[in-house]
Parts: sequence; structure tokens; C-alpha cells
Amino acid sequence: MFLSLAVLFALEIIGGPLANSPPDVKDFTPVLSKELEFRIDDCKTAFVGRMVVYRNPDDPYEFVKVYYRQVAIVSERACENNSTEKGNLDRISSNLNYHQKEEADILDRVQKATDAFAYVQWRITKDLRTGQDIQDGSFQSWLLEQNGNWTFSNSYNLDTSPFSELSKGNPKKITMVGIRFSLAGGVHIVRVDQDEIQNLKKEATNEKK
Amino acid sequence: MKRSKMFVFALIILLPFAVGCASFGNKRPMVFVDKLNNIPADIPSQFLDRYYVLIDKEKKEFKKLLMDEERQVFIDNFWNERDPDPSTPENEKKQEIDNRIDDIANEHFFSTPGVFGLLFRSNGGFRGDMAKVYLLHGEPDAMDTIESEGNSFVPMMLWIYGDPQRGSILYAFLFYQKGGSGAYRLFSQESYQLDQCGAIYEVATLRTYSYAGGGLQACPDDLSRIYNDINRASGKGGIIDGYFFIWALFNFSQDGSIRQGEALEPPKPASEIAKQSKAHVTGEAPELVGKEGVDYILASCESCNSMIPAELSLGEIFTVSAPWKNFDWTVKEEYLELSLRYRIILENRNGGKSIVLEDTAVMDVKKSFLDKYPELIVVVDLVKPEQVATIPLGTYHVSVYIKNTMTKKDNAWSESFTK
Repeated sequence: MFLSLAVLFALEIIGGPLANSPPDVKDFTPVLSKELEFRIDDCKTAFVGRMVVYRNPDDPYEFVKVYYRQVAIVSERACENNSTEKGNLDRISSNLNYHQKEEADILDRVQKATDAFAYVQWRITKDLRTGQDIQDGSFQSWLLEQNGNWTFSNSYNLDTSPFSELSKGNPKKITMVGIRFSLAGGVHIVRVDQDEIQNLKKEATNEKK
Repeated sequence: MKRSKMFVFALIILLPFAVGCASFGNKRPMVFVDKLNNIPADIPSQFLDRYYVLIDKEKKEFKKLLMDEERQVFIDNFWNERDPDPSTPENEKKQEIDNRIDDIANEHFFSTPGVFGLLFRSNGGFRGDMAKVYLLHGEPDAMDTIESEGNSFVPMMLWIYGDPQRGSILYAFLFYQKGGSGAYRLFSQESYQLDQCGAIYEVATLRTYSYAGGGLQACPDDLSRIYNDINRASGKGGIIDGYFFIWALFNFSQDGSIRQGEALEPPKPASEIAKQSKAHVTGEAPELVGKEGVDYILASCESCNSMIPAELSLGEIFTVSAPWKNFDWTVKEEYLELSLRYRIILENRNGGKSIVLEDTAVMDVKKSFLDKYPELIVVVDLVKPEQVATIPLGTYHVSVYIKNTMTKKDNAWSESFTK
């Protein structure tokens, strides 16, 4: 593999600060949190990050949703339909408990090093007619592009879609490998490595032997 | 109530004595929580006796231990390995077994329909067949007894455990009073798998039948009548009728995959079963070896904890470029090494053949050079011009994925490429 090193003194530093930087949520209160995950197939789940909704403690009508990315992991549960393992429900449930503990421990470790890559900020207000909380004004959204620059939109929410590519195991098939976030032309993809999906198959085969 | 108070009293009296003896490794008297059923108390020296149904290969090792302190360490490990849910502070397996032991002490089945008046203490106590099955599998989903109106067969009791997943019978433990009286003992279906008439002979009250083996074809009429008697019998509790007892004389599990002997073996520890299971988690980076700054240098940009922020260029050459501080490096004496695994998939938009390019790009740069130019931008060639030249003309959808092999930080692009 031919490699080159270009010595370029950047005139403009990539990822330099924008006039409209993402909000600082350091002192905000988390009110909702969930894994950024997707199913690869019936038994495998990919974990690519975490989404947290914060509320401004000084202004309870202000919320910020932050998407964090992590080193992606793939978790395969022992599915009865693809397994030669037989057992009663206790055994299956016990296996699941052990697996979930392993999954939680690894998630805990990988989520010690995350990067915020998207922010959505909005306000709520009381609907005078119904008394319900409704959005007040438009969204403000920020998305970190793959090169490290932030894209900002004053009126759009993030758009998300599944990200798929040709399967490594079966090139005739398309497999979902990640989630694509887009905002005003900017794109950020969080995904798993197809080799990790293959590794699961290899490990299972080796253990059979 | 009276009885349990007496047991507590017995424990208080005997416990110091028992502990004292343990320290010297002497043989000491058993301490029971239930003398009628001979249930040993939960103290380290009696671990093998109290939890005998769960103990297999550990027996030898435990017997070598002389001090209660070392026994307790062993016992703690034993239960940890069997904990079905490691995320909770309780050990549900120990709780389950201890609850079943309490049930035996409290004669749990005394008022149960179908087996009314049934006592563990009259059926071998804590070491009897009934207690063994109960300790291993708990309360059956259905249980009943049958007795012969004409006294042609001995009293039998059937414990059925269902498999809710498959809606079938998982285990059918058949107990019988050999000779018509005494303790219920387990009937061994396996022994009569090839001799069905022999099974009926075993549960017949009077052994005067002229059966000398040979299977169902050679079964005398007298025994065939007993077969029909059992088949017609009704369970005392009206729960299980004779048809199932006949079935259980020859079968232990509905799909025939489990033998009675297997169901009575000590169960494998939950942690061992989990290790053998197909469940896995992959993707986490291996622990870094060495010291940061000495053996490796981690990226220091703002979004570099899990990501490699970089610019992708698709042209005559495919490259990714970024300030050198966006990458993680391994220190190799006076050089820094960058290792990127990449995978590029070019899907022809006009339906032509797809192209997959994957490899590991390794780059070495002198450390002093990078120190001198902190804003230096590194360009990593993923696909060299000769390779790009072999790509047929067309418009492609390109998926590019790069990953640092040391820390597994990555980046991905989805672009269009026309050649």
C-alpha cells in the first residue's frame, strides 16, 4: 500500500469554531436517555451511541436533545431458532441475564468515551386552549459532519434514516449497518463494522468445534 | 410454629459446638433444622449434606477443606457460579433451593388436592426420591395419585412438569409404592423401555403372574388386564387420569429427548451455561497496553473520543486527510505508527458489478517531525491511482468506512463517485 504524507499547513483549521456553536448542556438536567441502537437481524443488535434529552434548570421550557456516538458494539443473543441449545425457560432466562450483564458492562465501558455529534434545541409553551405542552417556535439543530465541522439549521430538525450497504457475508444482499443523520446538506453516519458481525459468526463456529 | 422454635433452640445450643469442632477439623454431630425429615442446618460444615442435589464434582474438593473460613469462600464461589441473574444482589438460585428446603420442612403437600396427606417424612425425608425431585424441580405443574379399586396395582403418584414453550410434558416423575405399601419411590421408565410388560409387572400388586420377560407380545392376560385397570383409573384429585399414568410407565419426557437420569443430575452452574451459550458482544477495543505518551498517543481533538474526524477525497486517488492530532498513534521508538482498516464498497448505479476494496493502511511518521508541526495535516492514501484506474467507467454509490485498528475509533461516508 502506497502511502504519502502531505505537509500542509492548514490555512483554516478544520472544525474551527462557528459563530453559532452547539448549546452547552453541562449544567442541564437529563430527563430522558436511551441507547442509539438498531436490529441487524433477529438475534443481533448494534449499539452505536446514546441519545439524552436535557432540560435547562434555569428555564424549564427549554430542552436540548443530544446524540452521542461511541465505539460501536454488536451484541448477539442466544436465539433458540438458530441454536442447537435446548433448555427450559429458566436456563434461557438465566443466559439472557448473563448476556445482558455483559452487554451492560461493555456499554458502560465504551460510553466512557463518547462524542456529541448532534444537538436539537427547542422550547415548549402551554397551549392556552388545551393546557397541553406544545412546541414554541422552531427547532435549532446542529450536526457534526464527518470532517469535524458543525452544520447549523435554525428551522429544521435532524433527519434520520437507516444506513445500509452490501453484505460482506452475502454480497447479493443489503444489510443495515448504521444510522444516517442529515441536516441541511450535512451528513453524519454512525455505524458498525461488518467485520464485527462476521466475528460473531466465527466465534460461535469456533466454540462449536 | 412450636416445631420451628424448637429448631432455633437446637441451633443456638449446637452452633457454637459445631463451629468449635470445625476449627479443629473434627467429626461433629449433625445439626438439623428439621429432625423429622433430617434436613441439615445451613452451616458451612454441612454444606454437602444440605445441598446434595446440586453438588457433583465439587464434593472431593470441599472435603479437603478443614476450616469453616475456607469452606465459606468455597461456598460463596459455588453460589456465585449458580446465580441466575448476576445483575441483582440476591442469589435467586440459593433463595429458590432454601425455599424448597423450607417447603419440605413444612410438609408443603400435606393439603394438596390429589395427594392429600402426603408427607416427605414418610417418603424417605430429605434424602428420599420425592424430596430429591422437589429440590431439583420444585412444585409440579400437575400431580395426582391413583389406587386400584380391585387392588390389582400398587398406589402410584405422578408429578408432571410442563414445557410452556413447546406446550408439552417436560418431565413425568412417576412414584410408586413397591409391593403396595411403604415409601413412594421413583419408577424408572428407562429400565422398561424395551420391556413394556415388565413395567406393568413392576407395579402389579401380586407378583404371581407367569411373566418371564419378552415384551408386550409375551404379556400374559392377567397383566394386560392390569394395564386396562390403570388406563381406566381416575386420579384421586381428578387432575390426572389413568391414561397419563400408563403413558408415564413408558415415557419420561414427551419428545423423548430427556432421560430421567439426566433430570436428576446436579444442574450445571448458570455461569457455565452462559459461557457455552452463543451470546456474544463484539466491537470493543482491546485494552491499551503501555502508557499514554510513551507507548501510544491518543487523538486530542474535540470529537476524537470515538471518531476520526477527517476529509474524504474520491478522485484519481482515494484519500482521507485530517490534522495528525485527530488520529491515534502507536509509538515505535522514534516513529509514530498509524494503522487504519478500511473498507470501500462501490455500487454501480447502472446495475454493473459492485467493487469491494479493503485493506489496512499503515503509516509511519517521525515523532519529532509531528512535534515540530502541530497543525500538520496527514493524508492517508486508501486506494492508489493504479487501483482507481482499474475501476470501470460509470457512476457509483460509494460507502467508505475507516477504523483505527488500535482503538477502534472510526468514520464513515456515503458519497457519489463518477469515473
